[in-house]
Amino acid sequence: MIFSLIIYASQTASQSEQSALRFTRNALQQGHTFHRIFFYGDTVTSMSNLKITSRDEIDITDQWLELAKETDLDLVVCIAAAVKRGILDQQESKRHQKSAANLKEGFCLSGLGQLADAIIHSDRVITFGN
Amino acid sequence: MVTQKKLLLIFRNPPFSSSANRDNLDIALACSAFDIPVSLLFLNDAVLQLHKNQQSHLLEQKDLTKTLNALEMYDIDQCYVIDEHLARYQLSKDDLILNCHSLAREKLASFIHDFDVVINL
Repeated sequence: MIFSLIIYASQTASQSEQSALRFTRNALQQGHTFHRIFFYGDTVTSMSNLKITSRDEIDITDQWLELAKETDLDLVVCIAAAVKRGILDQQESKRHQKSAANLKEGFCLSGLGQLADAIIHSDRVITFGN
Repeated sequence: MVTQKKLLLIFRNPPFSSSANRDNLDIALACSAFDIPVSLLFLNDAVLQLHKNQQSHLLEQKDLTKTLNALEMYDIDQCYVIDEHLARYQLSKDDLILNCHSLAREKLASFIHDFDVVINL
């Protein structure tokens, strides 16, 4: 089955994103595929490369990237949600004349059209929200 | 050839309480631009989002009713409320900014079941 996920809750305030990661790992192990993982709402703040995770905690963002390396996941961060919260790639930083970019490498900023595309091309769309 | 899927967006929050209201509406607009048929369901306190004469400027917040009023231009005209939820706030359909269909509460499960994709932020 082809899945897409919407991840909506804040990574620091909720377990949702971790649940999404574990769901993705297990579904992949069972032979399912993922069209897209779409990060929306407060969850996008965790894609800042300025984030520091304390040593005794696990950085879920890094775990997504590790999983994506092995399995070619499409990790898309909603551009409107991101720029509103100060998460910028090089292009957005330049466009808005900001002094730096901070989107973690491995994620890409794109619009809600990518979510519409995921809805069209997936058998199931699952939201991990509040 | 891609089969056309029906999308239902469920609103659950009162106005001005959560960015989910705005985020859900943005999904509606984007998906409609991709020719996905979109329906909106306002549950519980979310019916207050549809109340006429909101004065968002008093809260220094963005007025979402302008976006809601523009939905028809995006061919989104399938909006649903539950009668009991309106009654809880002594509202009738005339008090709402959108022309909504009303659903009986016991039909809710089968109504939701008819959609291919349901998003409930």
